[in-house]
Amino acid sequence: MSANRLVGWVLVALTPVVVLGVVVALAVIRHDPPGVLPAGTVTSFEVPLGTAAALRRGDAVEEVFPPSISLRVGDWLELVNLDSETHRLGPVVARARETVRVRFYDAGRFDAQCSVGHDSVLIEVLPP
Amino acid sequence: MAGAVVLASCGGGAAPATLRGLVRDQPLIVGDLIVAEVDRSGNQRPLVMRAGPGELLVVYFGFTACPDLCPTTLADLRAARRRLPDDLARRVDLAMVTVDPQRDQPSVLVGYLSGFAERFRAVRLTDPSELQRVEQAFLATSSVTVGAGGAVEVAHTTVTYVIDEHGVVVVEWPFASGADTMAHDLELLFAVIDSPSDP
Repeated sequence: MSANRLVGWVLVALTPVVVLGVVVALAVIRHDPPGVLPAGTVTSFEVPLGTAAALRRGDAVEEVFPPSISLRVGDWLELVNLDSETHRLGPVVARARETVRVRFYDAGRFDAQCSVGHDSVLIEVLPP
Repeated sequence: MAGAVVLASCGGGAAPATLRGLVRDQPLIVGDLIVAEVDRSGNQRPLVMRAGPGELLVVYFGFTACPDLCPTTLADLRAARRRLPDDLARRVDLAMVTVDPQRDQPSVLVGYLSGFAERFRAVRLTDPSELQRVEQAFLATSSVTVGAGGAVEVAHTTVTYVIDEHGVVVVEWPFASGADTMAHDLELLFAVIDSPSDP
C-alpha cells in the first residue's frame, strides 16, 4: 500500500470523528451554561403613603395591584412600599418605606395574598 | 434587596456569588424570640429563634392538613438537604410553627415533620396572641376560619426563612422557590460561615 493511499484511508476513518466532534462542540456552544438565567425584567408596584390608614377608614384607595401578574422565569417582582405600614404582595412583604424585590427561578402559578384591593393576586411564572 | 452579594469568588475578576432568595437591606431580626418546642408527648421546652453555632435554622409557618403548599415546601427542603454534602446537611435545622394548633396536636405535628426531616423542631403556640407576636416578627400572617358547614379554612404566609446563629434572617424563600434554589443558597451561606473571618 502506497503512502498516499494510507493517508487517504486514515482521513476517511477520521472524518466521522471530526464531524461528530464539531456537532458536539456546536451543541455545547449553542446552549447557555447551566444555571444562567436571562437578565429578566422587573415588574414593580408602588403602595402610596396613607394606603393602610385609608383602608382602615373604609375609604376607597387606588388600585395598586392587578388581579393577575404574568412573569417569566428570571423576572423580578418588586414592591415599593411608600406607606407607613407593612404591605404584602404574595411572597413579597415590604415593611414601611422598604423596597423588596424577589426573583422567580421556576415556572408555576399560585394565588398570592395581598394587603390592598383584591384578596389575592394570581401570579403566573412562565418558562423563559 | 434580593440577590445581595454575600461571597466573592476565589480569584480576582470573577463574578460574585449571590443568594437567589430575598435578602433585605435591613434583615429581619428574630433572635430574641423564644417559642415553645413540643415533643410527641406534648412536653414543652423553650426554643430560641437562632441557629446553633455554625448552623442554619430554617423556619416555616404551616399546618399538617395543608394539601399542597406546606408539603411542597417541606419536600423541597428535604430534597435540598439531600443535595448538600452530608457535613453541611447535618448543620441544617428545621422549625415548623403550626398556624393551626388546635388540630395540630403535638403527636400529629411531630409525626408529620418526621416525614420530612430527621432533625426538626415542632413549634406549637396555643395562645393566638403569642402566635401573632411571632408571626409579626417574621412579617408573616395566618388565619383559621370555620365555615358554615364546619369546613376549616387556613390561610398563611408561605415564605421560608433561614436564620443564622445570631438570630438574623439571612434569606427568605418565597413559595415555589424549589430545591435547587434552597440548596444553592444553603451551600453559599455555609461557605460564608466557614470562611476565615477577617483578622
